[in-house]
Amino acid sequence: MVDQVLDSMELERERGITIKSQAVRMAYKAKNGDEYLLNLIDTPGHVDFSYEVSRSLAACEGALLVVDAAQGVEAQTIANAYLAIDSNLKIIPVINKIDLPSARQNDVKNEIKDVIGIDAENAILVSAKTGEGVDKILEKIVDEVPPPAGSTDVSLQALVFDSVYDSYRGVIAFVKVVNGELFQGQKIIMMATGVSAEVEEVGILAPDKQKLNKLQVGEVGYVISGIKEISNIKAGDTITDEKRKANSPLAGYREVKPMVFAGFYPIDGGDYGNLRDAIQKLSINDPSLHWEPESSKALGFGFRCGFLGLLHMDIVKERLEREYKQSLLITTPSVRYKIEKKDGEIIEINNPAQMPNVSDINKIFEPQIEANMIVPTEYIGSVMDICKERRGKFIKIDYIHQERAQIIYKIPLSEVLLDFFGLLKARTRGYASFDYELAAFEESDLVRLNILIGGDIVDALSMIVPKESAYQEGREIVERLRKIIPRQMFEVAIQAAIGSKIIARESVKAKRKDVLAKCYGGDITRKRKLLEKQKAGKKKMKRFGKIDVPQEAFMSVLSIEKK
Amino acid sequence: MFRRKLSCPSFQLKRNKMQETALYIHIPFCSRKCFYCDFVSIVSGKDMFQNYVDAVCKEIQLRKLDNVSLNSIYLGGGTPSCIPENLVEKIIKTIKKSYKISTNTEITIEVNPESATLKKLNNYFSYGINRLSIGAQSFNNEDLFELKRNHTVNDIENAFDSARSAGFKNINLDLIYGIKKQTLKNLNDSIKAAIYMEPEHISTYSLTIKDITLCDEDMVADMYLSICETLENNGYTKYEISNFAKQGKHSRHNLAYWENREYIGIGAAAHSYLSGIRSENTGDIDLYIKKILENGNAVDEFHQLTESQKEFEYIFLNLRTRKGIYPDEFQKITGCNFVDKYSESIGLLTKEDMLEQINGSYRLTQQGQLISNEIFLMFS
Repeated sequence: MVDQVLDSMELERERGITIKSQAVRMAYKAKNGDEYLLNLIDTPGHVDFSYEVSRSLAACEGALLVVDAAQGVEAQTIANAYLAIDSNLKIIPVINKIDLPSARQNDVKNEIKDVIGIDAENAILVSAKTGEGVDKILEKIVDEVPPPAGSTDVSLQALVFDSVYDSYRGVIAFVKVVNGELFQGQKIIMMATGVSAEVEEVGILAPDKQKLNKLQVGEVGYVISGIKEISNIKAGDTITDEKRKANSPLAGYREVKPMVFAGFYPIDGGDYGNLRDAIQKLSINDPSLHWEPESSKALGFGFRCGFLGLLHMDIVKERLEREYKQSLLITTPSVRYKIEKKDGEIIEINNPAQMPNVSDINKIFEPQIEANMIVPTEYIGSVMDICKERRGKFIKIDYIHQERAQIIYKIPLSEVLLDFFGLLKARTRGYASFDYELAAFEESDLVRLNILIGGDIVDALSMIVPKESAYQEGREIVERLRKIIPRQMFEVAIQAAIGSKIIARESVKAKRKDVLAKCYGGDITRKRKLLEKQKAGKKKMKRFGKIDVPQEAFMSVLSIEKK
Repeated sequence: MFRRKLSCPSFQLKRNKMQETALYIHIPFCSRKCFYCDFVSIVSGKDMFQNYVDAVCKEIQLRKLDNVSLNSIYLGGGTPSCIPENLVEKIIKTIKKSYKISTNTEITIEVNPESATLKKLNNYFSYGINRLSIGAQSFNNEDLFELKRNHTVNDIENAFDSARSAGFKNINLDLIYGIKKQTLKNLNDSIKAAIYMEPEHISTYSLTIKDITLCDEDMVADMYLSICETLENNGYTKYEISNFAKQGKHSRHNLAYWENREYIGIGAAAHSYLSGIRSENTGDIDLYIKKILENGNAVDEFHQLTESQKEFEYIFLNLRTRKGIYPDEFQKITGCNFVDKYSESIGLLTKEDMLEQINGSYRLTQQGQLISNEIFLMFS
């Protein structure tokens, strides 16, 4: 058996973190001779994956709260512990890595008691590395964790807590049978989507799939029902018997709010369809991923995606690239604006290119959020700094415990879309919690920054920015373009403008000389091929008047990778 | 893309009426390898000379074409002058036996100054060679040192004088510019020194390694313009982007390339263009010899040009010449109307003073010649 056996996804193994939950069944013979079947679900610890955790917990009766003996209680410890408490699970504290020289078990026991409120006096001391204490965990599980409460004779209720799409078999759902039985050949129905199907195969994960005749109360396993349409099986749904329907579905999940947004575009416009399919498939395996279509003049069609955090976004990007072979461009997402024109008309735009002339505009309004942040008091200053940097307006501050404060700010939505959450976490060592509600549009001092190439406005690069940062942004963009646009037959004038006022200017000198190489008999083919290749390269560029601009130029300006 | 192949189809082709073509022989041997050279050649090959020339002669015989007379013959390299004269003689004799030539046929051999002795040149002349191309490169000893050549300015002058003594009335000097440490002034002096020798023809190229210039782009542009001006003011007419000649003394052989006509290439790494097919012999000398002895065919790659590729080649090659493109010739060769088909490009380039129409033909202006590659792209 390999190390990290349950971290089967390549990404997980590489990064040393758990991303997707993995369910596995284990047979255990207790010290008293009784035989037990344990269904184990390994969950991610990182806060970005809290949705994974909560779904898995809904399928469990107990939870091992594993705390690092050297690090002690961390932000994610608290977050995960509360999830387990909210799900009414029996919690068994486990303190791991006691083999480390910096291990401080007793302190950690106290931390668990003080910060989370769970008695950790009898926490099991373990070293997964050496194996010490592991047997004690299993004993404690069979002693203290209650068996599944459901009954066999009632109607089937199986909770779908995860699913994955297999190109041969269709959707494979991972379920916990709460009541009744799930067997091969059974006619089943999804209670939320109303879709019916026939069970082709059921089995358990040990950790690889093992086919069985049926799954019984309390068992965790998988079911394949020939369903090909991704949206027909949702995590949180309940599976029941079509002929003997359950009265009500099991409690589902609450929708989680995305914290980070970005535009995902295919680098090659022709791949849009493939990207859409890939995101669709990925999202059934990752229901916390939000997505909707979006378009940009420069980049064509793409998607606006919402994530639980930057790590989540990073992982999704990498999964799309690796598992689904997509080449992606990630852009700063855009928001909608309301504009009050001088003639009184109010229009809403979602593309900077739609903004009317400066002379026609009376006021511009942008969407806001009300940000609700809870932090240890020592970080109050940091949080207020960040919010101020992001043009936030202070609303109020409340002290909830002696060491914790709740801070409320009104912040423009465009300022928090990308990295606000990550920054907040970074500056508070992970302890800040962040929640937000969309709030009303408010007037702001915004301008439309235009980029001109060869004297023509490039709509695709227009952006709406706060007046105070317009100069800075304009200069940066113009400089960036100057470095990327290649020298060509004519001089390329690059300008940034607000209205008719040019605020930054650079130019790319005209090419003065090509290589004037010899062209004898043996050179002709090579020269032709070289020219053909250059021509192909030019075709991929966008033409503005007499100027050829490579796609890289747009990507470089719009991509978030530069940050 | 090139296809894999064994025998080049033009091999067996018969021509119906008398046609003229050009013949090139590659001699891939040098006494020293220049760092900037991208021609195929080896340095230590003395023991191969005989076998190689035997193979070359065999290829000449096997590839002879009926109803073809040679407009030009060119012995290039490498350094043809570093192999014994008798081997050169053998090649010429074999050619005369296999092909029709006339007193008008231009027969050129490339020589390096250090190996162009009077004796050798006399011999060459006696074989019927009537044109010489001397690899002078520069009339500045510092430049020659920079280029790591095996000769000095003195050697060039001696070789040139010997050539005249031997009777050569058609001599070309090759010159390189854009050499490290070369200034506009000392380039000018070098050109003037070349002019002073009164060669019939001068070729000038900017120093490149793998198609990249070593010097500053603007400097090279200025050098090019200066060379053009000096040469044109001294009786040399530019007839191709990098080639200048006195009245009537252009290189007939090279014009076959630039006017997009056919040619036969013999020897290792030699290229041919026949019946719309471009082919290349293997550059591996041992393999070349082996293959010729085995089945008389050493073609390594060949490619049948598509109609649009032929058209494109016609355009960019002819635009390198000062003759330019004549719409009615273009129509005859491609079946297309040049002005209509490329009206947009022609319009833009004319407006920007990159292309001009003189006496009915379209050719590059001075400015256009400087950035010729960019302009060619507009015709692809």
